[in-house]
Amino acid sequence: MIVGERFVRSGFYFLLPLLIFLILTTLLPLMYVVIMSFFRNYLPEKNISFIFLNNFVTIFKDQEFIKSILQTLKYVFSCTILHLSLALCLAVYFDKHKGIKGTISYSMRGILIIPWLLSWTVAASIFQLILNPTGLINGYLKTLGLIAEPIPWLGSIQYAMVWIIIITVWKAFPFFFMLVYAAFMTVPNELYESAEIDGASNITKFWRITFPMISQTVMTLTMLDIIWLLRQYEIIALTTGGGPLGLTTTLTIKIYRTAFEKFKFGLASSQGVVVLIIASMISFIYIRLYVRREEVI
Amino acid sequence: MNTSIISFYKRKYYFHDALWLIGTILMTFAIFFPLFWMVSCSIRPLDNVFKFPSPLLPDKYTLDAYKRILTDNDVIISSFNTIFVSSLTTLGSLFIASIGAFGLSRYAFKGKRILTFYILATQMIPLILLTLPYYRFFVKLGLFDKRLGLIIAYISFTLPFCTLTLTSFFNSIPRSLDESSKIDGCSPFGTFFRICMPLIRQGMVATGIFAFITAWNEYLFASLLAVSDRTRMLVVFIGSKIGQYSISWTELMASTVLASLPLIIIYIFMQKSFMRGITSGAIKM
Repeated sequence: MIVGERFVRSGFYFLLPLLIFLILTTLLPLMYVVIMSFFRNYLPEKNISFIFLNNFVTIFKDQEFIKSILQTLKYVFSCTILHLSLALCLAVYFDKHKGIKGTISYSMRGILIIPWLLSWTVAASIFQLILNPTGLINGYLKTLGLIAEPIPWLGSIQYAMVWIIIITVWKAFPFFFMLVYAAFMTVPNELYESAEIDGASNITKFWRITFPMISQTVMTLTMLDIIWLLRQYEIIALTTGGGPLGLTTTLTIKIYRTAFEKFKFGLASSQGVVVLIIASMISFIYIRLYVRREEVI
Repeated sequence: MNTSIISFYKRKYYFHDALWLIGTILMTFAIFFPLFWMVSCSIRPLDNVFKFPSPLLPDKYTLDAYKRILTDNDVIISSFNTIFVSSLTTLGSLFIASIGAFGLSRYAFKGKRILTFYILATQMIPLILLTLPYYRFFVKLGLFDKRLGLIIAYISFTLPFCTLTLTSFFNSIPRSLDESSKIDGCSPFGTFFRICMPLIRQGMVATGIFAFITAWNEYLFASLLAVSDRTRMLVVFIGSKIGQYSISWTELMASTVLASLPLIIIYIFMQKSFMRGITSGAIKM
């Protein structure tokens, strides 16, 4: 508060457009989803009817829905672990160099971010081309004699999920690298210097100094990553489309199918509520971390 | 210490540096290879794309694919739509976010904490949840298959991030500036427009780029809410090409280059502000 009643009230006026916009575009739609999850709402039927928890009973009896939860967990956890471990490794690799190495390290931070800037659609088309049965990878593997027949990577039961994870990691880890690297830069040099005088090895320095200083950042990024991966739709829809045999059908794909291919909006809403509950738990941790930071600063 | 030991240490030092440099180059190559391949395939004749073993650089160069897509009406319309929607999303979210961020940074009022949580939480909503009501509401409101509908949806995606980032930029401006402008007879809105706005130019650039990129790249809502030829976005155009039975790969790659190049150019010119905005912003480290 600066001074006086007038300023306080005008503070609220400043926030009014934001508030109205966010309520109309997020809170209202969310409430609609939650309410709809208690209704039978099949698009070809004119009427909707209140069926209370029946939608939830239906979705948890659905084997495919349970399977899609498992696929989601597999996808989200593999990607999160790979994103952050790769980001940490690269940040260590480029950390605190002097002279030319320092300049190269610093500019790498700027260059490596480029894949993250591009659209998931672009990533999907490039990998569709590379992984094509007649594409680059099959071509080279065949020339090297490692495979006899070209493998349709994105349509194979063993490899589809692996490739989806690889594409996701390729596209999104630069962002995490950038933020972890920025956190590395905030660790004061004196700490390393005094550790060096005490004869600490590089590994000790990392686990005793660097990691404790950046662990908060890593935690925050983990939560953010989980949330982003939970909402991932594009890359799966445009490469495998959820196949083969539903092995890459994550919750997002499943909801999309239920709503926009089967037109069962009520059922899709209740599936959405399940995702919302998972996301809320993770958001809660994220917000707690955010608030703790705010108070320190 | 004699000279041979010193030179040994020096040699070891150079050896490590050389290894480090080779590692860096290999890594850069691995990360950029898919993008290199995209460009490389866009400038070769079609029969050259699937030649075995694939040459990394085309034997013959041709810009035919670019000529074809740049004269294709669908591409022109969807490029225009993308630029139009992204620009208006940027302007809209910067306008609402900067006003809101100023309020959050400068005033104390009841419920400010809850409001901040709410803004943070909206960033976390799984987008697929919002598709259902948006689809329903937009059909009812006549916003379905309209560019305006997409702009509204995108502003709501970018608003939380922009607001929180700009709040941290506003927080870095000393309060004494506001107070002196108030003493000079400036209204709160005058203080906002004349004093504070010009000082957070870097923050505006950073969040503006973020909003622009988000709107430019978003696929899920674009593919649901803007489906006709007239309103289709560039990424949806590319997505529809991937789904076709026989894909014209050189044209597809040329259009992905078309969809990526503007973002890379903007990023290169605004790199410094963008980096600062992202790392100091809403993701609060």
